Amino acid sequence: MITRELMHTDLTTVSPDTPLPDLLCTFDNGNSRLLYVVDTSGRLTGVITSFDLIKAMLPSYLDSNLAGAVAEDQVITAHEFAKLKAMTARDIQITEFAALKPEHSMLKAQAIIREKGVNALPVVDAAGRPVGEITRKEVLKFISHLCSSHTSK
Amino acid sequence: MFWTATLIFVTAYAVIVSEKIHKTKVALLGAALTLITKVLTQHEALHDIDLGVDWNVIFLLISMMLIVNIMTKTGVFQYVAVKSAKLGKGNPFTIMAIFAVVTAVSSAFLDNVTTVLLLAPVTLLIAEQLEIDPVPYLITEALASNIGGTATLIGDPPNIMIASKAGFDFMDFIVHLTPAIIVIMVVWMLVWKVVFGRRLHVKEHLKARIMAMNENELIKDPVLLKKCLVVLGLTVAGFILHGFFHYEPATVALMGAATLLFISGEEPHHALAEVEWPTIFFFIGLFIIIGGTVKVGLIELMSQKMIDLTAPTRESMFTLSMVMVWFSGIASAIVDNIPFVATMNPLIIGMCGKVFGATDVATLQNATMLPVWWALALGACLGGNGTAIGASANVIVVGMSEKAGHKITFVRFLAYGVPVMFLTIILSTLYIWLRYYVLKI
Repeated sequence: MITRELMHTDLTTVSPDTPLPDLLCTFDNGNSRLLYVVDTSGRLTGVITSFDLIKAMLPSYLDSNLAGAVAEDQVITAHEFAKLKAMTARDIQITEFAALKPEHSMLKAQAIIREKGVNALPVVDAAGRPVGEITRKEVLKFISHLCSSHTSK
Repeated sequence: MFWTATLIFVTAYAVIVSEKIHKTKVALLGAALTLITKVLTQHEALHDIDLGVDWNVIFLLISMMLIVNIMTKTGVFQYVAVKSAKLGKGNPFTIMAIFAVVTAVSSAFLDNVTTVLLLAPVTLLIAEQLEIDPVPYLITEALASNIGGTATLIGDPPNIMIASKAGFDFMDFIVHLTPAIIVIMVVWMLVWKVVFGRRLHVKEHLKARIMAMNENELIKDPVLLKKCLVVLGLTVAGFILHGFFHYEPATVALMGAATLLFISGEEPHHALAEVEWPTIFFFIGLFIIIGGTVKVGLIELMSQKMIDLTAPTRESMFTLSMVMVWFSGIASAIVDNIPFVATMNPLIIGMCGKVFGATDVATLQNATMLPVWWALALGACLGGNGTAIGASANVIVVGMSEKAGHKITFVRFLAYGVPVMFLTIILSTLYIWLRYYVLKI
């Protein structure tokens, strides 16, 4: 089976100038696992994951141990949000990311997920436009389907 | 051979100073060239006490890094920092002064980079909670780590190198350098009180945030902490007594590191992976390059120049001691103090040989020579405070601050670093003059 047959196409796209507060709302409301940052011609320039947003919203110096000692944790988040309000998708996006082509096999998708440890992979066409998304869940569904059909044989 | 060794030394030094290529790469290539051109034989580089790698320094560094790496996992440093802030009752200047003292004391026993790496995150958090600019606090910590590191044999690599070459033990540093550092810290904090005492203000409800922090959450592994404290205590006791029992400091540190590794349950590959191997190999490469310059007579030539300029005699090396504090201080603000001291050590030993006709430990440590060594240690360690690149702790603090959204420009660091550098060098000059040439104690 190839990527085109399994990918879902309900993607959330944003422009590089989308501010951080809008990104948080969009992520909350959208269906895709990734936010797709596209330029004016619709070409994919970067992706934003939930991890990237959580990372951006946490001060760089704060580890899990130190966070345990803070009494008013909401103050930290509020301060960080106030500092980062001017940040846009351009500042947060990852520009070096693994992507699939619609004609790539599921085995390739599985291998990339294992190598990169990502939750979802963008699927782009020949012009570099995002056309779909493959998630771990979809790959697992495919594997499960394949295994059960082998067992029944 | 003379020109080959000189060319390798000068080129390596220039490239290290330029910071265009990582210093470890430069030192290792310089060492390889020293060996391949047969300036030094491999046997000399690895086994000769005067020309080769100083294994005492290498094993002391590796062992202390191992102890600190395991201890870091307990969360004790973060605990001490938060506890200190609460002791200061959220008062911004009191916190700054307590943090400076905690950093200085920690740096006297641990390496400076580790100390600021552990304390800077807590400092940023405390500043965030108090809604104040963290930059004065962070720079103060970097400066305090360089000052505190000067106090003991194990506090800063230049001291380890000086101790190894001149045969000083841990107590020599406690007797001769620690009093100078205590005076410097007291005067510096008084000056800082004048500078910052009135400028730092926070509202009462913000102080309450500090008092509400739970420092007990920060101790990750109480059992490991107990083991670490016992081993660290015994290791420090070993350092204090190593001269009495005739052990090298590296032997004491290795015993501590091996014991902690054994009883902590830590996997060796994890603990060893976190040793700063680039720094260790930088030292190894540097020792071989410098060994080459000693063998071909370059260092002897330079020590003759030093004698011509400062006219040291068997009775007094006053001019040399005074020049040494300032020359080392200013040089260390510009270049890495490790290659600087690696070069100065054989130079001073060469000068001692010319003046006294011997370079045994007793001669190197005679009353006339002592102020020269302590001037080198004070100048080389304290000079690093001058600029943002003068010491590794400064570089780390600037990087962490920028990552947290508080950029420290080169000029802003200078505004803090240069006055503190001059203050500490002036105090060191007074200390050397008063103790060794007026009071003669």
